[in-house]
Amino acid sequence: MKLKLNILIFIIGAGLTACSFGKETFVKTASIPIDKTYPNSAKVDSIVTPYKTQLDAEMNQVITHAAVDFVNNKPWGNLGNLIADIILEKGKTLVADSHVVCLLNFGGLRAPLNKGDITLGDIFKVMPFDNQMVLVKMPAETMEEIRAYLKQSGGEPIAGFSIDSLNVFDVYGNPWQAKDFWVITSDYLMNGGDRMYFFQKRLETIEPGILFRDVLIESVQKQAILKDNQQPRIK
Amino acid sequence: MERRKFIQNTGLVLGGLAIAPNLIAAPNLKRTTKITILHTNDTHSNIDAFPANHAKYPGLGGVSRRYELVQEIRQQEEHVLLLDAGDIFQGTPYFNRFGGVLELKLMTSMKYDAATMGNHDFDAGMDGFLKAKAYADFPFLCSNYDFKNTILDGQTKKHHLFQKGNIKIGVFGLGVETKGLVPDALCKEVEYLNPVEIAQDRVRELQELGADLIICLSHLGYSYGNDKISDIKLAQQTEGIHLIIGGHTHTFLEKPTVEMNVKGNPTLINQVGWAGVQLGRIDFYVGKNFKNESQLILID
Repeated sequence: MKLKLNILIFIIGAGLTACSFGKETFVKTASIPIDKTYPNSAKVDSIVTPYKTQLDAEMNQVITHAAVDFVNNKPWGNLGNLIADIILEKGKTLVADSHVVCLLNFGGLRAPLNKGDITLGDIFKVMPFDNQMVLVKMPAETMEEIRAYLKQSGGEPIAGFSIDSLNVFDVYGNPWQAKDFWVITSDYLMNGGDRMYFFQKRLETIEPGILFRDVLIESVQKQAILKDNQQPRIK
Repeated sequence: MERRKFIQNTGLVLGGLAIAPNLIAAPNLKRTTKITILHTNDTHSNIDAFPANHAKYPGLGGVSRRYELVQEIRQQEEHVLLLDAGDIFQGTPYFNRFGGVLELKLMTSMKYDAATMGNHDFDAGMDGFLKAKAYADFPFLCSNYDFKNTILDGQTKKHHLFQKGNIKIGVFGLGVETKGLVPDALCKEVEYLNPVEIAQDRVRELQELGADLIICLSHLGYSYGNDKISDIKLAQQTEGIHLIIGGHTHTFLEKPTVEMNVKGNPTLINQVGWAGVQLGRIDFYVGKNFKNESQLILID
């Protein structure tokens, strides 16, 4: 017993000697959740209030209702389906062609739509970017590039078509008809955002100068309850 | 596993003394200088706390509470640095309506010491950024964006040296490649430079200036499944960086990751998700004769 104690003292001694050179820097770390433990700061609140008052008057208007959570997921999610459907519907009114799809990006949908009342502010959180809607006519063969991109990226919000590891299908589940087609997308993606470089091969471009977010707001205001579409479009 | 390797490695540095890791884990901190690094990343214009019905982070975050938390720590600690790794802008209507002014006003009220620019900090255009930046009284550190020929020329710094007690802390910033991420119209003339080479230049210069600790504010992203440069790769391919405070990938790390650098020494990498739902805290107890990252020891 005594022997053991001596060894322990010796080892601690060695430890202290090593430390006393002061060569080491010790590091302690923590990630502190910011929750109700901390009160609000009167100073911050006084800075925020004038901005918040102005914003709330506009953003707190309830414009529709969600019966379920709409969540952005890969390879697909009901939020992506909802929004791609809305964008596609609007886009179809702007081209005289029935071969039309919508391709968005997962990263462009920035927040879920939570079950309950949906406010104008919620829509801004989903689509904070001032992205413009664009319509591009793509050569038939680029559909395969788009399919490959979607497999490689793990999935993006799409409408008007679906894919699996090998094939592309139309909305009825029939094989995709290989001919030139229109894609409704954002100016950001058309210009190479998220490395969607296939858009460089576009044949025609229509830029109606409409914000995606405005399309979304206009459409959801007409829906008393948002449509929950659980169709897996990327398999 | 990473940490275990880290401690064993440090044991070797101490000259092969048979010191058990558990004894190192109870060090004498009395003669050290404590430097407290607080950090955020990807706060994305989240001024208010998330609502109670938020699908992922119900009731978390909020600048008002962050301010109180930071104040509490400032009252307890003498040497505090508060840093941000970019993407301050974009994500709530506060940004859409007020262009980032409120975000930077609030960071100034919290006394942030420095930040780097994320890709979304270009979202109001460089002119928009400059307008909002008028409300920031802390420097933006960007070393691998060349802003020559843009209105941001001379508006950011490559690095900054902070003096806290007897300790000099060098901080520099790295941004993510803008191609395919930031619309050309928003960052046309900005030249993106190789982050690894630039980081090594910054480290060298900061060391020459006598920096005891070197911190990189990075918006490169934590890790990717491909060749793209990330914080992990940056740590592995450089030397002399003690801590990388990351962003961009919105990664929540329970503990900082420890990566061995070119010299086989540890570099810490930390990131606290996004939206200001967490504040990162890293306390360095700097020894009097501390020289480089080979002598960093992570303790509980």
